[in-house]
Amino acid sequence: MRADVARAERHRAVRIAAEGWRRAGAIDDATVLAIASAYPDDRVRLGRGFRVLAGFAALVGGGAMSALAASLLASGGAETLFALGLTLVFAAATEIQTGRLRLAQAGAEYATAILAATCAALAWFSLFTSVSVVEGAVGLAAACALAAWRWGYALFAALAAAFVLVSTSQGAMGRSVWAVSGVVAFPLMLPMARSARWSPAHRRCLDAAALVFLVGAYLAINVYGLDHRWIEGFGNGGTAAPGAWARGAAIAGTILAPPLVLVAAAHFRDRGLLAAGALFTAASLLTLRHYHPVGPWWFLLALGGVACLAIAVAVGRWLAAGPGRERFGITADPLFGDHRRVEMAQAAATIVAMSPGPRVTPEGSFEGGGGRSGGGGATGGA
Amino acid sequence: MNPDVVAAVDDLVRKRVLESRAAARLRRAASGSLISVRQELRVLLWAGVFLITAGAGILVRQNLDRVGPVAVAVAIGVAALACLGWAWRQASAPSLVFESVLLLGSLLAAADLAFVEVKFTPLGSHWPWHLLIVAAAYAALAFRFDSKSLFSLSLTSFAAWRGVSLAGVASPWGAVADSDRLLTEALICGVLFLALGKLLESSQVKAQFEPVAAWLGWILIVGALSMRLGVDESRVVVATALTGCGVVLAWFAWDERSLGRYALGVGAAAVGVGGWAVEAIERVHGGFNAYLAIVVLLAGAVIVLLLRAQRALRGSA
Repeated sequence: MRADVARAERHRAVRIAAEGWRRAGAIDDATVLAIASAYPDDRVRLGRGFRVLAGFAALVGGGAMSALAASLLASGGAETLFALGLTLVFAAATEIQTGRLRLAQAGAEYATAILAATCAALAWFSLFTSVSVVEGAVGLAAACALAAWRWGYALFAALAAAFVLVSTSQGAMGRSVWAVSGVVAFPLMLPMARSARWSPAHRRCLDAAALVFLVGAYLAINVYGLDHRWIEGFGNGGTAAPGAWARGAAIAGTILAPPLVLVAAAHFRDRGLLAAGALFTAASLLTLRHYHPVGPWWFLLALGGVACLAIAVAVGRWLAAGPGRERFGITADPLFGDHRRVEMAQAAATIVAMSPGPRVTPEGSFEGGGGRSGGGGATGGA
Repeated sequence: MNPDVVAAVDDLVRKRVLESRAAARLRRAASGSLISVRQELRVLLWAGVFLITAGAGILVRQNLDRVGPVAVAVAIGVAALACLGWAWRQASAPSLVFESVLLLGSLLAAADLAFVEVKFTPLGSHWPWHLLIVAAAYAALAFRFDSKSLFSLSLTSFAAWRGVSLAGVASPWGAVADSDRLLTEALICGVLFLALGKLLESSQVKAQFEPVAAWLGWILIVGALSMRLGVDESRVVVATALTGCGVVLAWFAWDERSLGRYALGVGAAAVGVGGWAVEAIERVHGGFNAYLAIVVLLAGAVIVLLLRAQRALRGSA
C-alpha cells in the first residue's frame, strides 16, 4: 500500500473518532476543528449514496467496456494476453485514482480494483484447458491477496482466505487443515490486526481474513457439515462415511465452539468474534434441532425469540448495574461509535422482513404471518 | 481497538488540545479496554422480535385445526395487548428494549387482525381493507410513540393495500408486471407518500418522519417506472417519465443537500436515458456492441456527475 494512502487512512481514523467524541458531547466543535487541522485528510471521499452509485456505475461500465473490447479486439488463442491487458488497465486505473486523483471511498476505485482482480483470475483460468479446484482456488487466492495487500480492501482479504481454504480442501487432510487454520490463524492475526505497524486498511484485511478462517474452522468441526461432507464436496470426493471418533469430535466441537468463541470475544473485546460467536450459536442450535427434533418449529422459533429478548434485557441490566455502568470493560451505554449505519440497516431489515405482502386476488388462500408476511403481514383472501 | 487513535489521544493531550481527564475515557474506548455492546443488544432484540413473529406465523398456519381458531386468535391477541400495554406504560422513559416490544406488539396485533379476518371474515368481500386498518393502526402507534419503524411499516402496509409490494418495486430487475395497474398504483402511493412527507415537514408535526416518507415515495416511483421499462410497449414514454423524475429528484435533493436522494435521482435519470438508447438502438437494428457502448458512456457520465457534485459540495462547504 502506498505510504500516502496509509497516512490518510490513519488520519481518517482519528477524525472519525473525533466526530464520535463530538456527537457524544465529550469535546466541542472547536476541538474537532483543532484535531482536523492536526490530522489532515487529503483524500476525496464520497458520501455513502454517491459511493454506491459511483461504484455500481464503474463496475457495470468497466464490465461493458471489457466486453466491448473483447468483441472488437480479442482473437482466438490470445485470451490470456487480452485478460492480462485488461488487468493492467484496471490496475492502472485504480492506481491513478488512489494516487494522483487521491480518491478514497469513492466507489469507482473499488470497482476498478474488483475488475482488475477478476481479469487476473480470468487470465489464470485461460491458461488451463480444464481447471481443477486447487488450480482455480490458488489463482484466485493469489489475485485477491495481491489486491488486498496493494489496495487494502477487506473484501479481497476475505476472498483470499476463503480461496486458500478451498485450495486445501482436497485430500484426506482437508478438513483437518480447515480446523487447524482457524485455530492457528486467529491468535496469529488478532495481534497483527491491533498493531500500529499495520495501516487501518490492512488491519481490517487481517480481521476479515481471520474471521473467514474461524468460520472455516467451525464448518470443519460442525457435525452436520461432517455428515454431509461439505468440505470434501469441493472436490466431489470423500463420500465415505466419517469414522466414529471423527463424529464424536465433531459433536464436541459443535457444542463447545460457540461458548468458546463468545468467551474469547468477551476476553479480547472483539466485535467480530462476538458476531461469529452468535452465528455459531445459532448454527449449533439448528444442528441440534436437525438431529434431535425436540419440538415443533413454531415453538422453537418463539422460544428462540423470547430467549434473544431475555438475554438482551438481562445482559443490558447486568452491565448497567455494574460500577460505573460497566463490567469487565463492557457497557450497554452508547460510547463514541457511529450507530447510524446499524440503525439504518435495522430499519431497512424491518421494512423488508416485516412489511405485509401486497393484497392478492380474492381466490388466494390465507398466508399466515411469520417472516416476510409475519406479524404485520398476513395476507389472504376470504 | 485502534492504535492510531490511542497514539493520537496521547499526542493531543501533549499538545493540550484534549484535557487529560476527559482524554482518559476516550483513550479507554480507543484502546479497546472499554467497549459498548449497545448495538449488538439492539440487533439481538430485533432478532427476538423477528423469531417470535415468524413462530406466530407458523403456529397460525400449521396448528389451526388442532388448537382451534378462537384459541389462536385469543392467544396472539393477549400477547399483542401485553406488549402494547407494557409499551404504553413505559412511553415516558423509553429504554433499550422499548422499541422492540412496541414493534412486537404491533406485529402480533396486525397478524391477529389478519387471522381474524380470514377465519371469521367480518369484512366479507372487502377483506383487503384489513391492510388499510393495519396501516392506520401502525400510523397511530407511530405518532403516539414516535417510532420511525412503525411509520415505515404503516406506509408499506398502505402500499400493500393498493397491491404494491415495496420489495418487488425496489428490485426492478425482477419480474415485470403484466399490466399497468401496478405501475399506476405504485405511482399514486409514491406521490401520496411524498405529499405526506412534505406536509409533515412543513407543519412541523413529526417532521423527523419526512425522510422515511420521501425515501419510500421516491423508491416506489423510480422503482415502478424502472420495472415498467422492461416492457416494449410505450417504452419511450416511460423512459421520458423516469428521466424527468430522476432530474426533478436530483434537482430538489441537491437544494436540500440530501446526497443519497441526489444519487438516486442521478441513477434514475441514467436508467431513463438508457431506456431511450435501447429504443433507438432497436429501431436502427444496432448490434450488441451498441448496447455496450451506451452502457460505458452512461456509466462514465454518472461517475463524472457524481465527482463534480462532490467537488461542488466541498467548494461550498
